[in-house]
Amino acid sequence: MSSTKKVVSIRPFYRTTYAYQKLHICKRCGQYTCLWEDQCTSCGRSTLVTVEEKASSRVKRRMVRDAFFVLLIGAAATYFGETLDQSMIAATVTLLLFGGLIFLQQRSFQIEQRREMRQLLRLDEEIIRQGINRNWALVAEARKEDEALAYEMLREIGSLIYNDRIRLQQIALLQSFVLRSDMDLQLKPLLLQNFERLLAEYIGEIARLKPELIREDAIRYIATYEVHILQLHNGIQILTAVAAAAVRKSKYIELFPSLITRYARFMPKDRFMRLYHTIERYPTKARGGLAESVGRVYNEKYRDQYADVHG
Amino acid sequence: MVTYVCLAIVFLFVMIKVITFQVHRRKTVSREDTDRTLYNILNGGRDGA
Repeated sequence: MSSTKKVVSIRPFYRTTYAYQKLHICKRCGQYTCLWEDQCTSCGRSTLVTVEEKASSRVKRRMVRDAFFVLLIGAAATYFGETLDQSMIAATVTLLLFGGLIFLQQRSFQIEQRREMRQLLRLDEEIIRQGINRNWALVAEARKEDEALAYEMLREIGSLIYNDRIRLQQIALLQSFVLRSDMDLQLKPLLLQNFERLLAEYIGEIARLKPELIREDAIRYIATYEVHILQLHNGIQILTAVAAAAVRKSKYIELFPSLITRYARFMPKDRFMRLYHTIERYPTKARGGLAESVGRVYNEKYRDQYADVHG
Repeated sequence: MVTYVCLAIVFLFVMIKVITFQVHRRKTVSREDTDRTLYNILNGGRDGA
């Protein structure tokens, strides 16, 4: 199985503070994309801008139009003044109101921009969906030539769409690669509702390569489908790797005592000793007979070695 | 007369803008709201896009 895996290089995932920052819109044709293209895939022009930029330009245009309107009507008021005094008063009032409007526009720009952005998204609902579907269709083409690129594209789409099909496609691609600890791997966004062999195997690999990615939801997934995982040829290894990754935090020891109890025996020595010392330090964290079980394994496997070293 | 009408229009226009700004400031759209809107568009009530 592992011999068919490909050695690939995956670019780090570009994380944005907000999801909408991933979205780009073509200024020409209005097509949306969440990929990193330089040119619009619909019209072929280099006119892609972020949704924020698009909203800013719309607000600016509206503000310029308002300012121009005030100046125009003010100029008319000045021009039609019956006396010089009247014209002077009209010009002064116009300038004061114009200044006030500009001050107001500067203060309200951010607020208006965010409003405009939400409005833009609501108005373009269907176009956004079409754009993301178009991105998804491009993945199928990319997959034929470059699977790593296809995965990167799916990762971008998956950051916006919560969909098990996208997650499964990503997991399937990841499981066809040789994974390394220096890769920018994800786990939480890939968790599925139902049992999936590929995901269980992926979690097992992550537990070995990047145990820091094994968090409560991943451990819960493994604990929920433990019976299914045990039926896999490497089921015990997956469960042991996850249990070993779980012992790095006392919180997980407290939350999943039965899973850890069952696989403590198979853990590497350093992981087991960490579990043993954590339970020693915080005995209240070991519920459901975990302390007894760990004590038994310690006595059976490590006590003599430990006594030799410290004796 | 035209001058006063024009000035009244400008004054009213600016006042409407001031009121609109005050209303918008009271109901500010946060970045999180925008994110929620986008997620609802892409995921709300549908299986994916």
